Amino acid sequence: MTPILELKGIRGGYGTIDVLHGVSLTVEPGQVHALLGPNGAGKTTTLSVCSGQIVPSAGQLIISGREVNGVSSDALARAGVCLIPEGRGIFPNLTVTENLRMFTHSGVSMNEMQETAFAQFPRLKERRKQIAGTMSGGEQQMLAMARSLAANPALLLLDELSMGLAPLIVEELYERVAALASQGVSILVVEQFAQAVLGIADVASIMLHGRITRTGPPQEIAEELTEAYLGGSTGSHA
Amino acid sequence: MSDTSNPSSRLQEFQTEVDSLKVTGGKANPERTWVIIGALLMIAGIVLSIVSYASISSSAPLKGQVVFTDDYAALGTLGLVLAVVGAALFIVMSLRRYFRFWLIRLIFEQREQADRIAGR
Repeated sequence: MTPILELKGIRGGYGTIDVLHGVSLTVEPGQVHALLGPNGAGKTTTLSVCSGQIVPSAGQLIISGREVNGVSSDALARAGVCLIPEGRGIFPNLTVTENLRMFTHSGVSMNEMQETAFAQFPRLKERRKQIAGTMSGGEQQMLAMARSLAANPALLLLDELSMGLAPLIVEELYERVAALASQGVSILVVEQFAQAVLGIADVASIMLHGRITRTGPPQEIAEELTEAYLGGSTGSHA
Repeated sequence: MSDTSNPSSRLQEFQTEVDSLKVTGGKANPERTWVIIGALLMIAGIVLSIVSYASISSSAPLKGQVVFTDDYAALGTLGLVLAVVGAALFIVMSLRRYFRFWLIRLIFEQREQADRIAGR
């Protein structure tokens, strides 16, 4: 089966500074692929390339078998590539209802949007008139996820879902992610905190200094993580 | 809205939408080419102007010799125009690249500031 997302030798970054130095990864349809790495590894930049926000300076971005380097990010979003960015990407000065209205650009009606969002996250219905910026981090993340559910993505890109959230909330959110995956949505999730995501991932990759150093089953990756982050063996010091 | 209970139909729909995407093959650094063209035009224009106006001033005609003063003047003017256009292109594209990343940095800094104020 054709992978839903393929990066081949991607180089790119910001201006003349390349952050990614030949990144290659594959996401199969219906798969949850976890991309792990410390701060500054290039994970968010990788997602920016996948969502069309950054044009790679070299390499290929292939979606469903078609090379789409240079495609506009809004066209990709309309096609079904949904990015939930680091920091949630909601409008903090708008209410929950207004935020949901802002997300109807993908063609989903407001009624459908509210129906899906409130069914999945009843807490959002209780807070529908509340300013989004005054909600807790977990509730904001629910709002961000609600729009992805309503937009019916084929490929979901998640950036640091667990950032700033309590472990219980993270667990609840990743259960939702697992439910989405069971419905056939392909998911590329970026995380610093591996334990949160390795339980639901089918494949995991480690990213360091703009390169993917290892890809494999989550259990194997979990064993190698500490060494990968800290670099080399931690021998005794005299 | 498509049927979420049928993953393969959603995939097929996605495939169709991806196949119909307009892909322009954009460049990572689109201003770079124009900056180089602007610089080359600027240099070429300056050189052309200098050579043309120097040819006018140095042309002390001998008896019977035809001097193309007007042609040199026209070339010199063309050189000036090319130099001005090249300089404008160079400056505009350089500033565009600079401001693009200045704006991104501004957004990130404001976001960090908002997070600090909110106590996150």
